[in-house]
Amino acid sequence: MWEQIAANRRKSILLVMSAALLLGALGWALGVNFMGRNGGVPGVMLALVVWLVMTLTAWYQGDNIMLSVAGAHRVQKEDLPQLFNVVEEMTLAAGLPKMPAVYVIDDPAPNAFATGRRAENAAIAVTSGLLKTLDRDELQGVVAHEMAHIRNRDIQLMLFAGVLAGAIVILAEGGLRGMWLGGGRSRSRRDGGSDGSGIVAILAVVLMILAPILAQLIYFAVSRKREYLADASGASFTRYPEGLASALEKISRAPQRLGGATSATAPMYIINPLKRAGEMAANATSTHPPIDERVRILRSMAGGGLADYERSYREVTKGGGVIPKSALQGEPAVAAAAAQAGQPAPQVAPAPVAAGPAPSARESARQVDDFFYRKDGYRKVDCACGTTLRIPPDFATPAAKCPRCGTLHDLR
Amino acid sequence: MAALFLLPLVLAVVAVMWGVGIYNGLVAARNRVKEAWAQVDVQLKRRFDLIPNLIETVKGYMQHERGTLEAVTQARAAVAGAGTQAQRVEAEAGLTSALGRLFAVSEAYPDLKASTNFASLQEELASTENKIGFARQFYNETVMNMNNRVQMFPGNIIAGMFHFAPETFFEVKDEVQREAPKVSFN
Amino acid sequence: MKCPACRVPMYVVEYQQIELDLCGACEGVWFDSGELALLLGDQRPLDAAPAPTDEATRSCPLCDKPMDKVNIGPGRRVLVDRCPRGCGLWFDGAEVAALVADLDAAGWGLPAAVHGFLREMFPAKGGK
Repeated sequence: MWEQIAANRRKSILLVMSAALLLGALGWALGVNFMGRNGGVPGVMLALVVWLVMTLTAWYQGDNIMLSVAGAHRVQKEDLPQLFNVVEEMTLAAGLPKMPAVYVIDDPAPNAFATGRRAENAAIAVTSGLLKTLDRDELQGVVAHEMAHIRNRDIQLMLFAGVLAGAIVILAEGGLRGMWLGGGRSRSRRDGGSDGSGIVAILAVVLMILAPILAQLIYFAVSRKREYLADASGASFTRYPEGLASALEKISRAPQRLGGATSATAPMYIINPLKRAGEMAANATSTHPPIDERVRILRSMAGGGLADYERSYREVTKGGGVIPKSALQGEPAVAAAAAQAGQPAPQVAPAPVAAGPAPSARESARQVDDFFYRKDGYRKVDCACGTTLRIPPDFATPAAKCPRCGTLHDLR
Repeated sequence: MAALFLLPLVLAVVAVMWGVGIYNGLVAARNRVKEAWAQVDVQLKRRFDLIPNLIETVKGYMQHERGTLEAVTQARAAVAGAGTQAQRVEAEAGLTSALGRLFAVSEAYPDLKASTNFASLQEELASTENKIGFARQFYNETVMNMNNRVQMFPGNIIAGMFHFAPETFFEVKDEVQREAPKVSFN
Repeated sequence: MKCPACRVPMYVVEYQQIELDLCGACEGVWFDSGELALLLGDQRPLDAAPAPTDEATRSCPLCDKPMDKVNIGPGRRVLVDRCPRGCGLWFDGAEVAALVADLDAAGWGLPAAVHGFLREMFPAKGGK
């Protein structure tokens, strides 16, 4: 995995540099536009300050920003024991030093993402729709995929990419708005002096147009190869590729669209949240590889190791490999390495023996909902006929009727 | 002239630095093995601690399953009494299969299955069982990495000089694995 | 969540671990597609083509998209609102009762699980 990590670090630096350049240009253009000819240098200085603040913000607050944009809430073990256990299991399988914090998003569209500065303080967020749709094996597959993003340090890159893209879009939009207001004023003050403000205006407009294209470039940067790699590592954690395969299928078939996702945060999710079911076809600009291809690769794996994924990937895509050689020589390519070292191939854990049934789908759905009802201050009323009523805090009427037995429950 | 004397010196320094690099790699690999084993151990202890609670909960419902319950208690005692690592590994495997039988038998007791206490214990134990498996899988990966360094050229030279020995895999015997009933989560 | 008809906050009723959202003012019922899936298990969900009607269009309480009108039940006599994005189904106050009555009269026209649950949740109240 080290090759991939080094590549990520190079890409992170490149991203920060190009964002700084764009910001500098934006600062120069805005400075000249608003402060006259000599405004260029202070404009660039201002942009550099903004860049520094942004980068520091991304480094120290980026994960929190991502989580709050997505509307994620932290959960503890007593809230959702099964989700918590699954995350703990995958932490062990990935050999991470510390278990990521667990977050839940109240959204019916099934999806998940991981974020954080480094493996030691990462977070995994899943939607309530995901918890309601998937069974335990599938959930484990999704969490394993996210855990792979954390261990492969993809989250660091996605963090920078997301925050920078968001900030640039905001700045460009702000500049555009300022141009309509302030630009007009300065022109009238100089009564029509041709001091190049026209060129500056054109340049600024060009920069406004560039911003969304840069967001597109970030889509590219968070390359599709990384998703394949996370699938491969995820499968090697659970040793059960079918779990992730079937989860990907279910998630891609779900009709709902995720509410809290923007083009800046989309690359973080396990499945692109901005595309609707039925239009999942990948094109050159897609952030995520086509789902059915990911599923097919996972399904034709002979075993649960990285080498198995590599072989399956070559077969399905008829192309070159996806996993760096160093990773294949290293850890879980067990059989080959053992033969080289002249040892009998050790039996690396088969899918562990599960000792009992998980709560039913209905039960886990109620667990998730209960968490959000508690958080949102819903009042619980148990009706004698066996139903349970939950009353929102802003409920207007003084009584609520049980539809089953017709009892009116006094709420005052 | 000076270059002729310097060349062997430079070569020696390079060789020593290269050796130090390999040595440090070996130490790091050994520490990773230790850390990974500590994780396995934490989960094994957790299971060990959960069992009295489980027996207490189950006892009232499963009057007719004395033998199954006793097998679990005995397997747990065997874990406590294990001296060497090899004995421990075997005893833990025995405990896994005894627990598996207990949960398989519990399917026949609807009252027990309806008890919320049992349901949460079952999720806890099932998950601990998974955690043991995953921690063991990672431990075996670190052992593989360590052993490759110790046994492959050129690491084996340094390893021999400083007495780095290959580590033992935590293997699960095939028969035990087959005995343990696979109870699905679905 | 607000009632698509009256725009007041709805309350939630849970029975047999299935949840429905109810409006206290108009007695309308929101059937979330997630809950429908829990009820149906592996069975196919209800599908019907949108029907032409002059009934006022309502917006989905979750995604705010204008909902389609579809006829469901035996003889397709009950007109309900369905979110085009698949968020769920909306029954106006009298529609659930009408559906249950139709189902009872005609036998199974909907998957048995849905009919059984609706009959349990909304037992026929004399006259209505």
